[in-house]
Amino acid sequence: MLLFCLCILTGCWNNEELDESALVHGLGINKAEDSLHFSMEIIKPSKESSEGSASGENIIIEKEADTLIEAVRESIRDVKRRLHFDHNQLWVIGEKLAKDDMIGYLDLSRRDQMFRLNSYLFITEENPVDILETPTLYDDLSSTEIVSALEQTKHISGYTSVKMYDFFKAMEGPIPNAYIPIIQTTEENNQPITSLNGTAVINDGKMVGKLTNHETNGLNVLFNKASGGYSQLTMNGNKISIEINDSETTIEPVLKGNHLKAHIEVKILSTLADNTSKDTINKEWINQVEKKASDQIENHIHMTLDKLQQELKTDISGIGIETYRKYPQQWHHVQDNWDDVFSKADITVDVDTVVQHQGLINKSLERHRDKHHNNPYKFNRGN
Amino acid sequence: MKRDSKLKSILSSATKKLKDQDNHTSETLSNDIQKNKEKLKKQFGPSEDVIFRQLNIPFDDDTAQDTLLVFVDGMVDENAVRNNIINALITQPLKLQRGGDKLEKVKSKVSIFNTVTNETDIEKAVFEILQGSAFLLVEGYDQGLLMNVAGFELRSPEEPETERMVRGARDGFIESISTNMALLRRRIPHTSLQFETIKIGKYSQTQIAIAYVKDITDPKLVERIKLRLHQINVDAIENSGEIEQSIEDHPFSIFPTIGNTGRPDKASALLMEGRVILIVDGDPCILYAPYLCLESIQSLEDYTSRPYYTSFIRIIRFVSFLISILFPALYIAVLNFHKVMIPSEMVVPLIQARETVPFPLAMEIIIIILMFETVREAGIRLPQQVGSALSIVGALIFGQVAVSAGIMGAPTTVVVSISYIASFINSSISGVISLLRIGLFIAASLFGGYGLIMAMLGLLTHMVSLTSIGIPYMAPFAPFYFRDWNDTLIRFPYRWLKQRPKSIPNKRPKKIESLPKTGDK
Repeated sequence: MLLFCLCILTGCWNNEELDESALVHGLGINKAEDSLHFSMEIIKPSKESSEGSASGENIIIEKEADTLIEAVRESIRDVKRRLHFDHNQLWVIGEKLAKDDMIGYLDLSRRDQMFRLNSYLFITEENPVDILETPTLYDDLSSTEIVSALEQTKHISGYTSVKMYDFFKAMEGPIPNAYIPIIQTTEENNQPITSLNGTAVINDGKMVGKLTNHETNGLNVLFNKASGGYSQLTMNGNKISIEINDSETTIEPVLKGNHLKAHIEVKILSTLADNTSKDTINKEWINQVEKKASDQIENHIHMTLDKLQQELKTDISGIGIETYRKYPQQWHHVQDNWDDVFSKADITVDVDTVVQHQGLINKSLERHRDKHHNNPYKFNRGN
Repeated sequence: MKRDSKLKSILSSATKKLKDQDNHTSETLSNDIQKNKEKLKKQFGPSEDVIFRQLNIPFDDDTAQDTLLVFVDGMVDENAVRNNIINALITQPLKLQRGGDKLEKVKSKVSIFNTVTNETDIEKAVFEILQGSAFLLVEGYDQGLLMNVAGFELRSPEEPETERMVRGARDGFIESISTNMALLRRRIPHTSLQFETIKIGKYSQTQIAIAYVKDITDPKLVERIKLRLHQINVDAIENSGEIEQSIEDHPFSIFPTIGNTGRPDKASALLMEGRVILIVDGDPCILYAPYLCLESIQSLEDYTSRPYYTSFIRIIRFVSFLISILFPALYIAVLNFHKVMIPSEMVVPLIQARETVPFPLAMEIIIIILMFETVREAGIRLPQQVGSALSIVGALIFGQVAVSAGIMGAPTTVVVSISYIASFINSSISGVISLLRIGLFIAASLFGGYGLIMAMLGLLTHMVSLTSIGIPYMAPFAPFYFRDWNDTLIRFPYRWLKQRPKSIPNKRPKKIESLPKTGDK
């Protein structure tokens, strides 16, 4: 009964009919001249059509305001209904705002009980309105579609998804750095669609740079989120890909004074997914593939780390957290200039890939199969 | 002890009342058969169903005696009257050669077939005649012979329609109390099964049998029920429901605290659990007490089938009970108060469905609930031929037209329908479920999830406070009898049910002495 109480008494305490309220599904914030530019995607309660094809079921409201609450209340004038953020699943933040300071403006999202902390957070280089206005492929609302796409990202290790609570958890941790995926619109078949592209790196509430898809891949391996993804490699001119079933990353930092040494060990269990060569698969071949894959993943991680260390001087790799856990006493001394410590750290990476399974077939195509010589059902093949 | 003396005083006052009635009318029979006939006719009035039949009984000394046979048409067994009384007396002259009293001769002749008593009091004779006895008056005697030839049309003991079973006995209680008692006696042919009969109702004189197994049943329970039955002083008892409502502990609760069944096999199982059964003459439903809340999700068939499926079905029944009372309430609480709880994927369809409906959500649900109740009530009372027409109207107008016309939202209709379908599985308490559904729904529509929880708390508090003839209604949960939990939501295998449930007080806790050891070869 108590549990029941707890889970039911979380929302706003008032009675409001569903058809008297406007449910916001996605929220975009960007910086305007001297205020903020808000855009909200609202579910449009249109009539159910008999064909079942629903298009343009969203209403986009745009508002200039100084704070989020002002925007929310002011837009009642336009929407004619009270806005509800209970189902807000998407936050799109413009790059301009992200580079300035976004934390302050997101305060309401945690202070007010109406917002969901399990909504997804994005940064876009474009105007957030464009993301929300993108026509959808399957769902009624572009926010819903982006969110449902994120649920599938476990099959692509090039992307990461960040929820509101992940972001705030990272920001309130010992190292106030975080990462947020970047979303953008691309042209496909003369139709704009949204797609995820890279990761934004946040240092102390400000966006300092971005990682490419390959670098994000390395980041995912570091975060142990690579399982379910794939890795593409080239061997003897042929493309070969493996599907990552499970990956385990252990970070072993060694802190001596202000000098950090870290060893990253990655164990990857995988399955052979694609083999465009005509080689016969045997132990040695598999070993070769494993070697190649390890090299490639190592490369990705190095790429990521190099960029983080040299260019961005921001630690979002998890090495800092591990150091904090291992040396809680010494942490105070390095905490203030951790970015510096991190960027000067020696990091070694060791990747061990195991191809557990080669799939259902041996060779890609087997033209001649010799008959077993004692086959009782002999027949002439007639040349 | 105090209660004992109270019972005695009430019993004695009851018998005294009867005696008073005896003294009040002390008209006796006379020697003259015609005068007697007049007196009887005066008692019966113009009722045509009372038959007066003149018989001339021949004796072997070539004399004949005028007699008068009085009985109520339809209350007596026609064959018995024809063969055992009239033919027996008329076809062969009665032997009087060796002398003797004529009345005694007649009595000895008819008592071969019937139970015969002498009666001089007209009031008593009339009373017996009305209950199916034949009364024979002989000229020259101031007393008559009362012969019990009661017999009337009875239906056969068929399985009650409301309590069908796939595997189980196919007989059922009928309207006659003697048949019903026999049905029980056949299942428990032991002296320990005892029937105590009392008559209630000044005019109806309804027979009520209190049945219990003496070795098992707690005597306090029998005593409590007897005490209450004796305190009933009414003109007539029409059915078992009136008895139920006059003796139950909580006459104003919506929960029934006295059970009823039409199945003799269930009744005998209840007796063997130590319960008391009340059979009301003229009603094929017998009452039993104590009745526990848990029984609404149990069925007799649970014990004939194997434990695993039974346990599964019991869980289904319990979940259905919760769904049937809570679903509309939760729906409105979530939609109107706690929008965060709507599953994200369902937000768009829900909003679109709501937008077309002209009523507020609470009104929409109330309308659907009332319509469902109307259709259901109509379906029960209508003759079967009309029933199919009703279901067409119900299904078409309801499911199709009302939704497509935008008067009702499809999701709301689905929610209420699921709630109703779930309530059909617990049909024995469907009335209670209907009331709870509406009650909880109103609480939820006014105060949201908070109101719903408050209403549920109030409901649970009320349920825990209930008793059935002094036995806690919520046993074995409150009070907590862990031993009885082997037969609650999960029914344990038969060989682990060796004890009678503690929830029902009994004198013989052990049910299974020993079973063959199998399975360890």
